[in-house]
Amino acid sequence: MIKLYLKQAWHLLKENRLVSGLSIAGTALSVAAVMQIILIHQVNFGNYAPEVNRFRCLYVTSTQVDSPQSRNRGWMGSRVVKECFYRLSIPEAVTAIASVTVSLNLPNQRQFNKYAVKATDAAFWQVFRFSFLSGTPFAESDWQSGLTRAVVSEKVARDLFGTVNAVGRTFRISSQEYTVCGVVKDVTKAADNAYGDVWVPYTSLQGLDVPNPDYADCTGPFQVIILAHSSNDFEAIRAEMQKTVVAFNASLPEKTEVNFVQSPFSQWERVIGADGWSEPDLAGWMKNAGGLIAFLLLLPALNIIGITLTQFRKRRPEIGVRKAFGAHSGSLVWQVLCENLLVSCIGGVIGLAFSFVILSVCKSFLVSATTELTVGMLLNPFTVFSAFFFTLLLNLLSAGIPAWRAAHTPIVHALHDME
Amino acid sequence: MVRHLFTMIWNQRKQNGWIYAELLLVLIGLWMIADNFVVKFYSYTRPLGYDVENCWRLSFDHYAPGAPEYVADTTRQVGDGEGLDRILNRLRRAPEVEEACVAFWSSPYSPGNSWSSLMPCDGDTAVFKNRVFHRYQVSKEYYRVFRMQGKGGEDLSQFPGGGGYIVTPEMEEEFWDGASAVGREVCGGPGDTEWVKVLAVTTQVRENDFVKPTPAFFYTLSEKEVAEFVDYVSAPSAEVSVRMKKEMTQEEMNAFLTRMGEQLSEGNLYVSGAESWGNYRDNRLRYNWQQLGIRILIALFILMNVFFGVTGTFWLRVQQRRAETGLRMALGSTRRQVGWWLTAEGWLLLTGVLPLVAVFILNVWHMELPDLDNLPFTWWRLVIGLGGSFLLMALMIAIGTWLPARRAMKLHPAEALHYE
Repeated sequence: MIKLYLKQAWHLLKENRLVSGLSIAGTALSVAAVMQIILIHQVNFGNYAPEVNRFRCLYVTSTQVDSPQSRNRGWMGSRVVKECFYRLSIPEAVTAIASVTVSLNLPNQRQFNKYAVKATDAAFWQVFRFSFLSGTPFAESDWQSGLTRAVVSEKVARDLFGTVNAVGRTFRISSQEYTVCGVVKDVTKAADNAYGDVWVPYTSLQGLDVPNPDYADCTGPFQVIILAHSSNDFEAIRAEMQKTVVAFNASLPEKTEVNFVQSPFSQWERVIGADGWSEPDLAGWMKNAGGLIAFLLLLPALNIIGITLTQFRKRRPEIGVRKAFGAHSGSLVWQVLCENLLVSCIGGVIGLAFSFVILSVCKSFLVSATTELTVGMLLNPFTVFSAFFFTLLLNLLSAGIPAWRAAHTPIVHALHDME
Repeated sequence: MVRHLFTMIWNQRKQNGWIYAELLLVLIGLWMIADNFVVKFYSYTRPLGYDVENCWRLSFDHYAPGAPEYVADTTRQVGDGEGLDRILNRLRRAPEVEEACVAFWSSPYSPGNSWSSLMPCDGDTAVFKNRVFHRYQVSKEYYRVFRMQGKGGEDLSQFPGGGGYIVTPEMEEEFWDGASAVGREVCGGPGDTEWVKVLAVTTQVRENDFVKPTPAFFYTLSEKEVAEFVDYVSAPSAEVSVRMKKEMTQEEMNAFLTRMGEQLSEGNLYVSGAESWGNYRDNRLRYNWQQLGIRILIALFILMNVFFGVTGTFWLRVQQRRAETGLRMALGSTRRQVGWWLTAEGWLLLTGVLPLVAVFILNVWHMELPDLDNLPFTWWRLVIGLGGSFLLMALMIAIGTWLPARRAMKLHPAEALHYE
């Protein structure tokens, strides 16, 4: 039956090319616009290399330290990392990350260009999956003894040494000498936790974690990412963390206390705007994003409804005949939806393709000019699925009313082609 | 003729309903975008009160023990305050440099800022309770680096540091109702015994290109205070800026720093790089530009929808109304008139939407939903925003009806009458 409907739809489509073209264009425009929102979210929050485990991660980006005199809101010191997070037993891995911007140079050279350095630990390489062009990450033992070993990106290797085969070469971060132990493929800025030009053990970088006695050395430059074996462990991890924090606070001087405000939060909470400081606001996010998506779907739907309705007036006698021969309303509604689905799907495919074009043309203000977009980021089952979902939704919106109307026209009227 | 058009629109109300609803939704959406655009454009074109072109922020660092440049000899080591002062003096003597200054979380577009409470000493404590204002702490060269001037064009760097405050006209207005602020005294709050004199009033100062000027005050630190402050927070935390005499690229600036060589280090303190304040501005304003770009995309989306909707509706209408068109032609309408007839119908529909849009605008205005903070709601704002959206839509309707109209025009009267 569906095959017959589709055949019929194909003939109708060819019969009035301009009007069909407009329906298709309307659908394509709508799908392209909605997919734009989905794609931007995917670039910001999806799973892609090197941040391949985002939905198994818990993020701790906020640290509040209260001392008898004052309060500090920022990040944590290595003391807190060690005593509250490295001790957790349930997670698969826990990594602490500090981001700094410094100039790199070769010995005896002055260089003023700034690069992004991530000071971290060995677990970092377990949480994120980098592809190494040569060499290896620095090891747990390097981190423990604070060895000045560094992993550099392809770009840095070219800038400094003119080649990607840089393992074993030395360079300077500010005025400290480091040895390259590995070279990785450049990382897109959209993967902001993993992004960097150079990665070093945080124990090796001088002046990074300056003790602050006012806050019992609890403040510092670190954020923590906890990788769970599965997202089902999140609750258990939160509970365990609660325990270590209580024990840690008990060891601090009186009236000094560390807490992590709204951290840790999951990737889903990040999507709706969690930053560790304010409570994630699902209702507010739904209102903004949902409102925009509804608008982008509704407006073209209005167009298509108008067109479908007018086209249906021509086919009223046909519907009358079908009803007279016993077709019930349900099957008529089904027919209209199926027929319209052909137009919607053609539009959906064009729309999806068009959305990639828009994103690459408008990248500078939709994402950011310096963010590299990769195929893995944009093209995956989720993209195709969501495009199809919104196409169906649009189909339902735009053909639903005409279908209902057609199905409920009294037979006699339909046969007579009367209003 | 208009009455005739009304009759026609009314008679086809069933199909016109959809297009009417769409035009209504779309005109509202477009007006919201246009209105936002008017506010942004107005704000962006006002004077800023300062100028960051050709200004660079220098970053500092310390040589680590173990580095070949590290000065281990304690007699050659200097404090950050003194070291920074020496480096800045050498920079000022360089022919490429116009001026150099130090500020503490107080430069234009700086990612950090500080606020503190302030009130006129003779003011009503109830009014100024809990009021905090943006405070800029700067060295006296700051005003020359960022080209800030007094209200009457006076040179603000003439005042020696440590003497008093320089306030913005908005603060003058708020504290003394527009009477001159110069010579008056302010304090940190009720009971504060440390009264500070106002030395001068600046021109209007806006925090960034998209907001209105706000009350704020500047404190010029004396040379001694600058050095103490730098010692306290360390030189890498201070904002050190230079104004260059001519425009430079990052490479040219790097080359300049390389040429300066050893002059840019003192003890273990050294200049580690330079970043244009223009970059900081771009970072600060990026969100605004992104929002503008997204709004323009949405406006384009809306306009294309109007085009599709109008074309589709009128195309089908032309097909259905061949009989009528034929009749008109038979009765002496020219082809052009038949075409115009359609466009006029579209325009009239659009005009019919206006009263409802006006009701909507009055409502949101009453609820203070549009940005009334940066630009009050005036007639010219309404006229530009609504008029602009209306004209854009009228244009889209004209384009959208053109294709169907041409088809109607091509029709031969005899053939058309055939449908009757």
